[in-house]
Amino acid sequence: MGYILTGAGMMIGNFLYTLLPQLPFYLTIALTVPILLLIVFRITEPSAEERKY
Amino acid sequence: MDIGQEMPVPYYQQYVDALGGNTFPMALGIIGLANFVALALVAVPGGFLADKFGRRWLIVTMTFGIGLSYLFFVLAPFWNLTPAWHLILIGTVIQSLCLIYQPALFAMVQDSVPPERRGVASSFINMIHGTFNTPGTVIGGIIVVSLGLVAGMQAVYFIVMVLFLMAADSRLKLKETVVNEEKIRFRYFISKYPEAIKANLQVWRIVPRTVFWLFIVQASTMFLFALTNVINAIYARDVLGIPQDQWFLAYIPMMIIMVIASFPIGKMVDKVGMKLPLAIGPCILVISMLLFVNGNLLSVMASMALLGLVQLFMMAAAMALSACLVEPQNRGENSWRRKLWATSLLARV
Repeated sequence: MGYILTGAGMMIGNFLYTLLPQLPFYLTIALTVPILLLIVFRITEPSAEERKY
Repeated sequence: MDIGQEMPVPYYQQYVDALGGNTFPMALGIIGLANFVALALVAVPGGFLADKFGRRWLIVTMTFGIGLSYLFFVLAPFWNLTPAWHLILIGTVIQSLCLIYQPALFAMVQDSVPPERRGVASSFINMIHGTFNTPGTVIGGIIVVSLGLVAGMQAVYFIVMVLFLMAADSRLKLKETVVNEEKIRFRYFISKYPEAIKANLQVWRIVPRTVFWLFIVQASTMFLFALTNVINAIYARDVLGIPQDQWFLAYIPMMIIMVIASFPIGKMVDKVGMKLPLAIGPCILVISMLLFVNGNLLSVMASMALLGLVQLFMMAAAMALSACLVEPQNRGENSWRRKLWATSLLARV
């Protein structure tokens, strides 16, 4: 899924560039917000006692 | 191979542009999509093939395959039947399909190193990769600046082909670590594909929920990198006005920072935990994009260096986090893919 998303990202980035060259950069900036929220609210770091491996 | 792999990177987009990409503006996107679809196709069965039929034959055959695929890149400017970038597309897809050997190589390294030294061995290998990447971009850039874009890139790709074939030849000396007398059959590749996908999906039922979200974060980050990586060189030349003969300089700070910051960031992850470095990554990415979008050569160099830092922060934190959440027997599929994730972020930057 990661690879498919990367390939799609390249296609979309190239397409947006043909519309307005700055668009891929602005979209990247905008999409960092949900990623940051995912990291903050969904990823829980196990405590030292919980780390089994 | 590390030096060779990086040599064409700075001027790859301009090369495709010169080979007809300027008259068909979606060429870079189509090549990028084909590249990663092919990678996705081989990502699943590679590990199965390596375990079933052994590592050596897969590694050697496919390294020769990658080496020979560079012939398409060398000969592309002479191709007149269709737009010349079509040959780049074919060469790229062949390369990605040949990367089916990656899990075999990863497994062979793991097989050959004592369990208690795998961490050190992995760091050492990563350091060697990082160290030899840096001169590759500089050498490639100097060749292109000296010979001109098309002739220079042909020379670069020819050198890369020779280097890869030499590497493939040296890999003939590898010793097989899995004993299996069964002969490889193509139908096995097809018939085992659903089974391989099923096994991959089953892992997600076992691992903790955080690992799933971590995967979403990684996949989304790959998407974000891809949005701009596909056109950044063309943007720098056509929008920012950075002279083509100076563009390769933008890669040098990034490559250097990836070598020198790798160890300190790894230590930071050990000290402060994984979540903070993981969250720092997207924040630095925003700064990097802002520096690039209206920049000049200096700010673009800074932007690229920050991109290197984003990768280091997110890679180190993600690897550490998954190592303490995923059981050792379920790491195989995840860990080699994570290595490939890291290289994919850099590829075609």
